[in-house]
Amino acid sequence: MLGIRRRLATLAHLVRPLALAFLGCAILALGLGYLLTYLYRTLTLPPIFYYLTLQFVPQMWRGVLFLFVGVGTLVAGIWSLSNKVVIPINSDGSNDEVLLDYRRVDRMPRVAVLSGGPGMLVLASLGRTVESMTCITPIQDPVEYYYRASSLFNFEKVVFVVPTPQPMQVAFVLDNGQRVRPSDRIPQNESYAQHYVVDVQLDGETSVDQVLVTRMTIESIANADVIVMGPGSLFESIIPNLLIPEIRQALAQSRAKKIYICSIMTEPGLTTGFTVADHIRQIVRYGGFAPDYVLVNAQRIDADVQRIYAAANQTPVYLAPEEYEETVVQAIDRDAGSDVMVEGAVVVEADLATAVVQLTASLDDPGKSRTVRVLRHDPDKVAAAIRNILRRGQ
Amino acid sequence: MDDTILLFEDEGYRSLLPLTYTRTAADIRCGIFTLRERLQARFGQQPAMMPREYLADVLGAGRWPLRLLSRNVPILLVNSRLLDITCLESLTSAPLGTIIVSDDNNTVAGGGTLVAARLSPALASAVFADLLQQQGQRVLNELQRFGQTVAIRPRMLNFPWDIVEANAELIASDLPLLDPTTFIPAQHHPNASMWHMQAPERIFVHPNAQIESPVALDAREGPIVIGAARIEPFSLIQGPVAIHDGALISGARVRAGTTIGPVCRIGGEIEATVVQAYSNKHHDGFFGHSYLGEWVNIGAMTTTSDLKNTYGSIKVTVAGYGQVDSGRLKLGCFLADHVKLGIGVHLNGGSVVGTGANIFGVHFAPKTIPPFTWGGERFREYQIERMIAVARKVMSRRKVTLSDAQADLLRHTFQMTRSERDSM
Repeated sequence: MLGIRRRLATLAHLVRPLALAFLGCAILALGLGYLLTYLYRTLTLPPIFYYLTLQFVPQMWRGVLFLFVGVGTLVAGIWSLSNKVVIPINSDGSNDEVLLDYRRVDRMPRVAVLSGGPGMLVLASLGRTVESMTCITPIQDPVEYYYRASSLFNFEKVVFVVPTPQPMQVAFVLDNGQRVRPSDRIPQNESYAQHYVVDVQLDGETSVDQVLVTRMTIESIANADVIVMGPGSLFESIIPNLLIPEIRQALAQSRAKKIYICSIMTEPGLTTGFTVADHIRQIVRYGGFAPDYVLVNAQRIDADVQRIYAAANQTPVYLAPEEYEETVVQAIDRDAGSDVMVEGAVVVEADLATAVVQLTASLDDPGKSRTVRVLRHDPDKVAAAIRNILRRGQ
Repeated sequence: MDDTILLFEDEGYRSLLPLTYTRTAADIRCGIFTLRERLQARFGQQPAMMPREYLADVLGAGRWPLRLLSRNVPILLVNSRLLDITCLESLTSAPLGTIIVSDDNNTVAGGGTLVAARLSPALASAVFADLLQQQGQRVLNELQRFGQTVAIRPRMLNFPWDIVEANAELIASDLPLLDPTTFIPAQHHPNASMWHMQAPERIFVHPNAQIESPVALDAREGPIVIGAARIEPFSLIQGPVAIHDGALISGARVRAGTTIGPVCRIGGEIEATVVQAYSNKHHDGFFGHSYLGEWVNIGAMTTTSDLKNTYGSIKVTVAGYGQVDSGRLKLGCFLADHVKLGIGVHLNGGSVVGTGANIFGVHFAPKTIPPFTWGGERFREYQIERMIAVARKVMSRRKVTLSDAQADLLRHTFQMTRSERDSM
């Protein structure tokens, strides 16, 4: 009963036009009736009309029969119409939109984000189209940074939450055995440029099993429809939170779609030489799960931009053909036709980046600044790609 | 103090309805100040606010106030229903993670209410979403996992009658928070010799107060504070009493435990009553142990009872609770914002009149009148646009403009309270 009411409720905005149309039909039928009566009484019609006009049925039953058939047809028409509906999106009428033959979504998705740095702000623009978005900040980051930055953008429905109230330190072991911390500004340090991380550890006195995780972190993961990891530094923004057993357990138990947004470029000293598969392997290694989807930038990068990045020891993270596994994902819709499976995750290639001109200042010499052309995850493109993934399987 | 003071609402605002439909508990006057004013007077900074979403525009708080956690300073979380702020004195220097919990069984939550807490921005972020939803119990449960709890029982607003009960005491305790450069001892006022004063050392007046003799100011039972108000001849004022700037006392008897908010007009007799602001009870008639919201107008000879003939305790209808025994022998009525009562209306003790109700032509009003009710012999729903048009007129007479946000707030409240008028 509730389902019927809800479906018919979609016609709420059509009640008046429908009533008017119904009145018009009734008057039209009346006019037609008069005309037919006139013709019937003035013209001599062939005998077949005796049967066509049901004159062998008593007049009262004829009326009842037509009423039943008429009401039945009307109900069928309204029922059919209620699945092809008009919804005013905004009550002020400024941006009304007509949706025909719509797909009903009972509520907007709840999103949990594991990311950090500017990448978190890239995703926060999704806030307008979600029921709620909880951004879980990296365990070593001060949360004020995110609130300060996001308050400039007027985000809605977005909250930033720390996994643990006490920030925790993270240490990386590089391939040469050296132990470094995020505070060492690894990507900026030329001496680390040719190395990459082989292990990530929590650095501190607290045992990892004793870490108390905030309830909102666990609840947001448990209640999410989609969990997005990235965009952001794999080792500095995503992996640290996966070191906490309670978060790992919550992720494992969550039935949400898990989407990893792969970096556009490698990070010197952290992911030097990493491919898409290498990125996914780190998630599997530390998180204990393979993301359902991995978003990879498919946009061609200008040679000029590539040269700038190469000078900074960075290379694009593309999906290499040799990483394709045998299983090609069967197309479940038109968009998914070219997806491939890598390390147990469906890799979706999409245009995710935009080249922007950025003014960079040196911390050592604030007066010295220069403009460079850099690639950044584009908030709108990333949001569109995530929405495309969310539509799958609905 | 560098801490960011952040006022939050918990589930308890519901038991203060209808008074809190259009304001937070922190903006209900009790004593000389509202909680918001009291915190500003004590700590020298305007507290930030996390109100219900529909109140945010009017309060200028922002519907999604992310900036509140943007500074790297401790957050002093304060419950909007807190009245006595002395418990905050030690909290401002307490370690981060200190939580004050009321163990008062009379509290709305039925035991354990978050009163205040001093938090790092990180810990505050863990309860930010719950604070935005007024989920005080969830906030408390979460904070207790990480912090140190201090159990005390400060005075809080749990039910509407707590405003009346706490008012006299708070007038006295608010006295040290008055700006000594603004309020002078009454003896120093140039016209002081013309006033009849008892215990003058407990009377404080604004230099611009116009107090016209003959007038009697009796502070033997409690202090009297008079702002830049006008007191007309033949007025009797018995402390503890606070009269704010712009108020007009027209030969009235203002008895102990009364606070008259800014730009109110008071005549007749009033006792142990809080008049929020911009309200008129200009004519004869008695109001005792009552609360009058903002933009309330009381017709001549309209009177409330505050004592039953049986001397029994007075019951009040509280939203979500039904009839609640206040346990008080003396209790008047509670009028929410924008209530208008015509001439000669009699109200029983414990009456509650909802926001925007316009009552006239009735001798005895019902004890509970839903918000936006119109009429007397027969009650109808007050058409919201007509109500707003009246509010505009009323406010313009005091040179105040009803903002679009305020009009939207009234419309929202109207929609929200529609079910309360179903039985009409």
